[in-house]
Amino acid sequence: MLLTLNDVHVHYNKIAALQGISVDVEEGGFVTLIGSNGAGKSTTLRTIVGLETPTKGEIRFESQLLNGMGPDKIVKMGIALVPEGRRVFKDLSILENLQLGAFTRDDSAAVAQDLQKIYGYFPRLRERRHQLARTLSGGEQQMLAIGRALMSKPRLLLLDEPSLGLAPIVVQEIASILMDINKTGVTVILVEQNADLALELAKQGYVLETGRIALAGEAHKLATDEHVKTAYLGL
Amino acid sequence: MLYGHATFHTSPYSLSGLNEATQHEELAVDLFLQSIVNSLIQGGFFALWAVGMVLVFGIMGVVNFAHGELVMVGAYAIWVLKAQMGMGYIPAVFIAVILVMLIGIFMERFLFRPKREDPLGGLINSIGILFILQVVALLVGGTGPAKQVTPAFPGTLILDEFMRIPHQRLFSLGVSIAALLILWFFLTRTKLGWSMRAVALDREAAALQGININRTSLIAMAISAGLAGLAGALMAPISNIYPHMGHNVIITAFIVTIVGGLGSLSGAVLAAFLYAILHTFVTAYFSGTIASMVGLLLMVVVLIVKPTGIMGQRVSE
Repeated sequence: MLLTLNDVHVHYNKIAALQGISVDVEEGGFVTLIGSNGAGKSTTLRTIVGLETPTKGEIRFESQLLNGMGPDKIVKMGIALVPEGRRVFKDLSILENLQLGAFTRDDSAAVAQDLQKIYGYFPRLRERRHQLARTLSGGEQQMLAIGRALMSKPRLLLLDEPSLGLAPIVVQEIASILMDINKTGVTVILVEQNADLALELAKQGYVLETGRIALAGEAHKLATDEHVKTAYLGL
Repeated sequence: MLYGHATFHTSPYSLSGLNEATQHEELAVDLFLQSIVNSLIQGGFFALWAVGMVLVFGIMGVVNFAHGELVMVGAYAIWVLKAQMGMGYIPAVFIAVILVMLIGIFMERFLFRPKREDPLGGLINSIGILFILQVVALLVGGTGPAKQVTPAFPGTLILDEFMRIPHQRLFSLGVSIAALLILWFFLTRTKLGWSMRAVALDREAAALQGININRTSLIAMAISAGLAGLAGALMAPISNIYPHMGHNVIITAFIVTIVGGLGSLSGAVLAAFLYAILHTFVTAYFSGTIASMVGLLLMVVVLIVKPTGIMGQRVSE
């Protein structure tokens, strides 16, 4: 297993956000976490990358314990999060945003290659590389946020609600690029409110309800599950 | 004797060897030119004071009320080292800067870091250290009249009969500008500087790029304190040194920071020189007290008319 969460609890002050989450992610896998608002999907991602600290349980990346490590160390180990709301550096240029994504790396030749690879995925970022990120549309900012995360050369890419607020055609474009990225061997964990899309892309799925895992299984089986259908797919 | 107190000694004028009428006319031109030169020198100080405060506010989210006291400690260090112990001025400046940097590092590590998510807590801690540093200054220097340090670079650059710039002030201006240029180069051209700008823009997103927030905050505070110490060390030979001299610094830094746009370094530098021109000219033609009132009025007007300042941008969408 590339990543294992074993009975992870997280509290905000004294309020429990996660109450015993266990997730296994295989190398090269594509896993989605679905669930309603406040179910703990974002908290799970934030805890993996070290923005939140588990109060109980273990997180292991290739058997190495991540508990209590800061995001700077975790990013360096090969985990990158595309945060909710994109969070690009609006007053920096697109190129500067991408270069900051490679902050932990010092192999400048390989960084330059990866930059070209990201421009290959998102040609519009190349065209606008000297513009400030604030001049980009929502979809382009999402692409920049994904590109920035890829610049750290992650083995595990976490995405928090990448489709939020985007036009359906842009969502499709981003979805197909996520599939391409996954095919290059990058493991993906996708958190989505858009459960149809998430279950279509992912191989494995977990359904979160109030900080616990309510259901888990292969994504295409979850998509036909009666409970999932009525609660999350709006069928 | 609060903010209206003139911090800098006025320049000497020579009034010999001219008839009354020419003298009057020349004086008017002279006062104007001399005020421009004084504005530049003041602007250098204002910028040094404000830039450090902006850096810490931007990166750590802390309003460091003790920033003026860091300047005061820099000036006191020069008084102790140069006036009391007879050390040379340049080595004393280095020691003053390092001393104040160490105080800044201590403040970040033990006062601001534990209050990272609590701006009010950080602010209150900074007010605490403000009083402590003032008391330490009293213990070191005692009460009594303000301390003075003789200039390390005596002599005066004489541009014409009436316009004179003491070498010490030229030195201060040169070092201030050099320090600001080095800071600008560091922030825009080095990886570490970049990471600091990223933290100032979005701390959490910066952390997600692998930037160590604690380390960045520590460096920001060290730079901020170092600039404050440098400003104090440069002021020591040309101004009065007393425990409350930080008061003037913090109010000026606030005016400059708000006029320039909270969190904008280039705005702060621009505002520092603009405000210095305003302050110097109002002081020269009216009085220091009116200049201070005008400064505070300017801050209030900017807050009402354009709260983001001249260079500030929207904080978030």
